[in-house]
Amino acid sequence: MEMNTKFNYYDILEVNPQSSQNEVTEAYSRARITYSGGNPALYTIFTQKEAREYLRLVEEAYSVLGNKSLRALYDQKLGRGVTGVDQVTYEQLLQESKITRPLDLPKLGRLKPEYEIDESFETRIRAETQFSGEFLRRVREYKHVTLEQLSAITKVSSFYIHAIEHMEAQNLPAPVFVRGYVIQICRVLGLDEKKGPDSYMKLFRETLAAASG
Amino acid sequence: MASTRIWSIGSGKGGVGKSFVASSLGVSLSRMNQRTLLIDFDLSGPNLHTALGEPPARKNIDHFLSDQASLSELIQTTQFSNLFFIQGTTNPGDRKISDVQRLVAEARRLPFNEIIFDLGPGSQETYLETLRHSDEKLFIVTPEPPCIEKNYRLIENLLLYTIKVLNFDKINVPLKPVLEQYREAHLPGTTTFRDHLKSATGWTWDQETEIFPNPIRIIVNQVRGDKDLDLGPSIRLVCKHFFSLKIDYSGSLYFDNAVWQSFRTVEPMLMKYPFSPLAGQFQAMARKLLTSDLHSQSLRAVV
Ligand SMILES: Nc1ncnc2c1ncn2[C@@H]1O[C@H](COP(=O)(O)OP(=O)(O)OP(=O)(O)O)[C@@H](O)[C@H]1O
Ligand SMILES: [Mg+2]
Repeated sequence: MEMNTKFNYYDILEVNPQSSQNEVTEAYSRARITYSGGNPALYTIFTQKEAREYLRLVEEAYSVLGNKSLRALYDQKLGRGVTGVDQVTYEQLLQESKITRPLDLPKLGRLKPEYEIDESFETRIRAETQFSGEFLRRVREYKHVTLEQLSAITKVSSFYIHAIEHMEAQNLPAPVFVRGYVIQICRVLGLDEKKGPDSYMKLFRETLAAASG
Repeated sequence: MASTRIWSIGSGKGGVGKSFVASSLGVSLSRMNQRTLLIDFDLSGPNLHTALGEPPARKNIDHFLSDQASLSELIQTTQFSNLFFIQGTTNPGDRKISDVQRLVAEARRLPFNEIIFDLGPGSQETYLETLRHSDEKLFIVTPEPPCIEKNYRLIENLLLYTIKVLNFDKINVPLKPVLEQYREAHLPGTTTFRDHLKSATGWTWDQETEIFPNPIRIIVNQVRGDKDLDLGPSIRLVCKHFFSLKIDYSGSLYFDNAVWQSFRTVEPMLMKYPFSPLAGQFQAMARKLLTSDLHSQSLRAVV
């Protein structure tokens, strides 16, 4: 079969390279609603399986276009004629962006410590090796950061942050994205950006395995 | 007078608000100083006169279709100075494509700025032909799955019908099976119906304006909650990904007993309840249809 419409990430979200970050985020939330299970607009056009595949593409598109530096890198590729969603992946772009320049993670300036330091909890944070969702939530609450604030800073939807804290795999996209979200959450909460995500993902995969096994 | 613009109001399903939208659009256009003609072309159960608040007229479109009268002889006045209408017929008859072509051609010669066809439900060829000749195609969808499904079928039927008519010399396979094939075996994110058509028939469109100079527009009617407001944008995205077709979402209209009441008392809703939230929504949508959107569309078509 001849294939000539190679949807790029912009087509997936129905935005264009001139769209602002805000428009991209709005389009993402519309696209996520569109392809979430049971939307009547899918009726007789897409099967549940196809909708899930589109939802995966939507998440992937937003993980690139929703991040300024990855988007810039992606735009360069588009300019060179690399377009299809099957030709570039989020992971590739992430790797490349680390080589060319440090990842432009959200600014943390807005988050001043306004919480009371509890030395024993601080010690526990430093010693922690099991970064479960429950632990992330406790640190967040200890630092008086609401879900909405965390979402505003990280640009990860509060729905996902909630799911990460409760380790609800069924409400989360593919693990590679979850990892990206956890890195950002750890960064904002002042947790170890390497140890945290590694440990969380290990626990997350165990939960996944337990759920399917 | 500048050229006439023809609108068609269709839907895959009956009883969804076509006549309500057609009559309200007619009232809005006439108030904006456009000389407007409403034609009830529902060949199964005409009810535009009720929505418009007029008694049924004796002379109707059947007199034109069966060659007993010219179109201009059938024009009735209404309580609005710039708004006129032609009564529909209860005689289903045996309508041909050529009847539609004659009707549209004669309508275009009448001294009106705007002509609105209120169609019956479904995708019979007479309606598809009317839609094909219309500058603006508005499809009315309600949030119920059966109505959404039937409107997708109408979109598909109009798309295939138009492709066939425009390429009758190049495409000689039936297009329905081509679409069904695609539905069975498509790969999300990589191919659309547009590509599949090319591989199956050798022809496809480069620019959508080759098929529809203006996009099909969707109005979501009888919305009952905020969740229903997501429906229009979702349908638009689904059509883009599946057909590679850009659909315009023109707006949503809430379910409001005022409409039902005004039908009952045979008064146009915009007259009877001019300050209801629904009347406000409608006016906003009509303004959008008439100004920014259409302009930017036609500009884009020129570039
Ligand atoms: N937004 C609305 N809120 C409440 N009632 C509505 C609304 N829109 C339409 N209705 C009601 O639905 C019924 C059908 O409306 P209408 O006659 O406009 O639909 P139609 O699509 O033209 O139907 P038909 O296919 O029979 O021609 C009417 O009784 C009308 O009062
Ligand atoms: Mg009607």
